[in-house]
Amino acid sequence: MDRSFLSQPSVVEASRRFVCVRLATYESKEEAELLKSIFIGRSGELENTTFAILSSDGKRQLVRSGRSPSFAFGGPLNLAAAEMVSSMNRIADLYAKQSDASADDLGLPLLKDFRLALNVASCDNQPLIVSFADDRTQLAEINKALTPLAWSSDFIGQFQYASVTQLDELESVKGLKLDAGFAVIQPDAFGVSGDVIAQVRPDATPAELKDALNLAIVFHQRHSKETSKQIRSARQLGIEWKTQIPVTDPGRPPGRGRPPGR
Amino acid sequence: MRVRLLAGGAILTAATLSVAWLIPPSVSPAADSSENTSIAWYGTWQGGLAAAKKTGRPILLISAAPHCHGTPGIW
Repeated sequence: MDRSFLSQPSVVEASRRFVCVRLATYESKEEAELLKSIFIGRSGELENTTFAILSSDGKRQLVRSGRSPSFAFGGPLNLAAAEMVSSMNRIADLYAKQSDASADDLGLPLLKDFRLALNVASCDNQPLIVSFADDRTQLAEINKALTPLAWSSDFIGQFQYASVTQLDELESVKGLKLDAGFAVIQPDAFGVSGDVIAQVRPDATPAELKDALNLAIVFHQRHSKETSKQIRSARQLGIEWKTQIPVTDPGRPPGRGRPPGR
Repeated sequence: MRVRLLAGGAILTAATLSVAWLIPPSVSPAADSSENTSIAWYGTWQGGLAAAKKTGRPILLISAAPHCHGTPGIW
């Protein structure tokens, strides 16, 4: 992922006027088809990364799509990032009359499932908030209470989110005491297990929810990661990520990216 | 309703809040929470597209693989 562009403070600020979608590349057949309809590299296959800016109906590409922002905004990083911000602001201005969004309209920005969410949270070095209840109506109420906080200036962009109705999905989490509510989880370095930092019952007040998130941020610990060391450690520990569909990026080493179950 | 705080073996309880805390001994506070501020991503096309249609906002779309050479936890 091209964090050189996407972590620029000016890009982050410009992103607040967009709906930002980051898909995990090989985790959904349907999403892979969408990505292939937007960009296919020289290999003719879906590559690890894709970048696009689209109209709000998702149908029109508003800048040159490619493998990364540098396909649309070339040149030295600082100039390219500035061009990207300028372009994003220009596009957002065109949509300005429609861009006053309520938290209810935005909804909770969930990942596809808990397993993927824990991994993504670890990749981003962020805490993961998982809401859980076996009753879908109760789960919807928990998510509705969380949504305004997720988009508030205090917490926007600081957590990943997942939601489950099957509590056995949370078996890899240590310290979970509740059978409904939400928990803030500290992912391990590989995103395959986690520890509960805070857990909140469904009847918590908005002030209590806010306190929980504030304290979770304070107690979350970032992992120091270096790619070659991380790979070496994973191999020693027998940790391997199984994608939901085969990895087709031409840069992948032989024998990797096998489909699940093999 | 109770608050439970477990930090380094200390347990505090109170009867007024419906929040429970459990802080693993291996976890220490982040130095600066503001360093975690980043783009707020939707993790699914379905969720993102629904929000874009409701709000009229344009879409910034990227994809990335949350693994490197089969190792999770790194982009």
